[in-house]
Amino acid sequence: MITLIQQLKSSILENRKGKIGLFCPYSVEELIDAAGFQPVRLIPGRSELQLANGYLPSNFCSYLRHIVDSALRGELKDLSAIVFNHSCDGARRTFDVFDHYIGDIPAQFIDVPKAGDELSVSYFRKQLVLFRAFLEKLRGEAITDESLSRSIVRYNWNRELLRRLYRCSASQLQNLGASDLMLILDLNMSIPKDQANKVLEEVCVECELSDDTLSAVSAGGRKRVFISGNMFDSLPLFDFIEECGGLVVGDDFCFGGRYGQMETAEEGEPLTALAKGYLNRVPCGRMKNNTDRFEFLLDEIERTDARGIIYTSLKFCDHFLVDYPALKELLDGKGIPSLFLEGEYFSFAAGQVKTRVEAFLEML
Amino acid sequence: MGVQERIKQILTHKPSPKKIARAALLGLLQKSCTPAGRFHSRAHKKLSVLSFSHAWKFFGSSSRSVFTSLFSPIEIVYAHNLYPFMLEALSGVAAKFDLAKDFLSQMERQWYTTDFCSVHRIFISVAQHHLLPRPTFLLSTSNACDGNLKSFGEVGNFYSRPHLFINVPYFRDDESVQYLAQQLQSSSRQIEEITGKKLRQRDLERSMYYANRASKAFREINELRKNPKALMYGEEGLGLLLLWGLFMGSRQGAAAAESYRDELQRRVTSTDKGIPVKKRLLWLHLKPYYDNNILPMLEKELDAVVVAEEINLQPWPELNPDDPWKSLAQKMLSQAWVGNAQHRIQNIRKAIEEYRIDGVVHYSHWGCRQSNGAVRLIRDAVQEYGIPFLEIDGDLVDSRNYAEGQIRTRVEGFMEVMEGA
Amino acid sequence: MITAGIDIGSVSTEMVILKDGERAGSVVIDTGSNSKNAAERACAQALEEAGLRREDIHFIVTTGYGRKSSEVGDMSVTELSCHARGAWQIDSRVRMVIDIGGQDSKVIRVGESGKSVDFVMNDKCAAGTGRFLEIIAKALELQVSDLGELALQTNESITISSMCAVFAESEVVSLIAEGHPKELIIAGVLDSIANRVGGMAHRVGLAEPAMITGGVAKNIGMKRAIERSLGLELIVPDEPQIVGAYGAGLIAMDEVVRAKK
Repeated sequence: MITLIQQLKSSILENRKGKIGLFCPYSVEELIDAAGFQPVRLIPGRSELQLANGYLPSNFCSYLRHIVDSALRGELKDLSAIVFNHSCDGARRTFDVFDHYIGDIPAQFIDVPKAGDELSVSYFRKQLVLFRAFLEKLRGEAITDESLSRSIVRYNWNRELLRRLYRCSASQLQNLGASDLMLILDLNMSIPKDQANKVLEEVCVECELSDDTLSAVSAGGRKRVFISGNMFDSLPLFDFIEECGGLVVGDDFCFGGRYGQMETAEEGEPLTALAKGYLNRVPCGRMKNNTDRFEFLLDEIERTDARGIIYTSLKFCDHFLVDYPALKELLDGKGIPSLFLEGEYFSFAAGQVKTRVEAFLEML
Repeated sequence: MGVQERIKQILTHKPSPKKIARAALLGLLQKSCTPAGRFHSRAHKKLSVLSFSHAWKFFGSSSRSVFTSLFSPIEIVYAHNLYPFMLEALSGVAAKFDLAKDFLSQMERQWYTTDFCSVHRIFISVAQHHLLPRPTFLLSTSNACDGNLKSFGEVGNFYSRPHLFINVPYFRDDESVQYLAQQLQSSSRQIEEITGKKLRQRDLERSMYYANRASKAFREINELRKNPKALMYGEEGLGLLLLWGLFMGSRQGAAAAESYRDELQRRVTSTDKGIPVKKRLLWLHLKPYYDNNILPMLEKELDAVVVAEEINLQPWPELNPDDPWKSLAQKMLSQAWVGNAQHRIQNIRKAIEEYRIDGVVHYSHWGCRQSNGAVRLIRDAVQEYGIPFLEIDGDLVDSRNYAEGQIRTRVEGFMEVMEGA
Repeated sequence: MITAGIDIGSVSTEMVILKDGERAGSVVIDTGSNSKNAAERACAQALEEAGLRREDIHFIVTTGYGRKSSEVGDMSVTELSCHARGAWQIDSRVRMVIDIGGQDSKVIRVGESGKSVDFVMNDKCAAGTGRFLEIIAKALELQVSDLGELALQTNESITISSMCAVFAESEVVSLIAEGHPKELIIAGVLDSIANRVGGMAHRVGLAEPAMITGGVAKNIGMKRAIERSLGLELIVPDEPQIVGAYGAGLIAMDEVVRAKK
């Protein structure tokens, strides 16, 4: 498994016109890919903020503040552009800061409706027309429907592979730990999909071939937990869970378990297909049909035989935080215990998290 | 026992929608019998009476009640002969009667993060306490903030009533107007299905006619307030949002708006002493609804009077009965807090110039990220004019962290900067 | 012309007497539980030391948290304007004042004529104030005055992750138990305060040269930590704790001059 991850790491971004930063899975990567750019998910380092506090209030998404800080410190200079979606009020204001104060990186704002009905799909498609025009201008060349269709196929395959990978993770844990999975996902969001697909395919095959009984035995005493949430620092969390005798059997992260949960039609007009696919995927808390995510979570918890769910979120994220009360009611109704963890992007309060995780696992 | 205490007693002893209707009736009778001289003005009395009357009707009659937000297109609700009631007003009333912390404590026993806007949390709690009539439906929009979708969704679930949610686009181009217009028309059809009554063209025209009259009055009020005299205290000016949040599209709403316009017109030519003004302020966002001294400190003690409020400085465009959905969509998209912060900044610049502003105050309500996120941009724009900017942070409805001494230092420091200039 | 300024803070009260704008005496006392009382005590002591009577003073300006509770003064002005005025008098190039008091901290931008032009205050949270240093000093079993020198003994620091001063105290106790050197812990605490104060400075807009005032200004480690955080040098006045009272005395003088015209 390590060698495979190393393989991913050593992939070079050849033939890419440049990198375009994004931070929300509703950014239509297929378009960026078809334009010859590499979509790169922005993961700023989790160190203390220096400059962002002058631009955004402190009771504001710390992930977005870190992106601003990163940009102000010149760390994002190598990006050809950053794409902002209308993900949330925070993203909207962060775009305003970029638009006004950070001139050296072109920033583009794409409106994303909160529903997937016909009218909204039609409107979102028009947004994608504008996005395509922006990318074409940046690239200096048109994006043909054929190249877009090819990107769609590549991305569909990537998402299929991720779904397979997640199915692996639940039963063949000897080979693919949760931390390894997180590393793979990070890399998946920073290298070209055709390269990622090749490696993911190998990882899937290796996982699927591994001995089921061995894994089942070793996983025996461990308590199976599902993780839900957004930008909470997952790596130390997963380490803690494993230290305390738990086992992460799945997640619904934006670029993790939920990333693969969409499919774009490969026939028909590509922009329409994309608009429809994106708006009708397993939703984020921002969407009107956010309760569909609850259905997805319940299905996943059942599929992975999880004994409980740890619901994590960054502070100040209304979309995810305010979903919890309704979700908890559902979970309580089904007798599924849950742990609620809130935190900041930086400053992972290790002592506090560990105590709660330990106590929760003891409950299961 | 005074009427206020009687009302509070009703609200705190096993209240129910019917009892609240009774409290509203009490308030209505009291306000009607109070001489106009005891209000800020005749117009103020009119609005006060109208509000109580509306509350009485709303709490008393479930079959025509609609839960709305400050930003909902209530012209549509009036066109369907229903009563809109903005849920945020409930939070304001709760704060005024010092009941906010009780509702918030209830929410804190559940798993609602305390970083979620307290205004939203309070009205969810009010709903959970069965204090509201079961609505016909709920109507809210994605403007101005994210929280709306969740809070209205919660309340809708609680009452098992449909939540009509309108996606307000970020941009203002033709595509966006069309998207919004189609949603508005579609909402109206959904309302027809829910009520079983078709929308009558003459009702739509009537609603738009009254909305236009109110809009015209608001445009005139905004124009009048450019006068070198301060015609109205900001404390009262901020109260105008009740007018357009509850009554835009109704006959009484139009009359009340015109009443204010007439009052301000009268004050322009009046030879009365008027309001003493040392400095002219622009107020951004809202003010706390619990008992507090912030505006009295500024306006009455220091004579730094709010001559313009961002919330009222909207273009108030005319609705076109020949193209109702499109013109209503354009009206919704004309609000400064839709989309890019630059709209808000431009509005603020215009206000500073047209109202000859000496200082700008922004009330940063904790939990209102759509507003507070723009403060840096606003501060820089304001200071380009060489005038000071004061940010007061606190909660709009939760008085538990209100610290007057701290605010006083900031307010006085701000005044010293204006005087030093 | 004799004027005076009294800065009635929540922890300490300072009074400065000026003869034609020149320093003629000053006192620093603990405020105790009664700020009105504190102002009177400070006044009595300062007058005695200067050999003056109350009638000799033409004008007294009070400032600080307790400025309105005292009847000793003729006028009250916020500490924001007073610090700006005092700092500017000491060095007229100063365009930013960072004041870290016992229970609050503030950053003030100073205009060309010594007036306060913009400000940001933190009086809600101990993190970023002298109080935080006291809490930590106690946890480390040291005097607050030792903290500065100790921090200078190292270039490294341990990051304190707690945002709240109360939790930071627990964190420090754990770090001590884990055997981390005190110098690194102190450096981490100073960085934490510097970060808070730095955030405020950015919000109001950096301007140079900058002066640091308040009791904490004497802490050399704190000065260095803020300088590192903001990337600029700080001017430290000889008696940083009385800059507010000094500024109030000067504003008193300005008032007398203005009234004469």
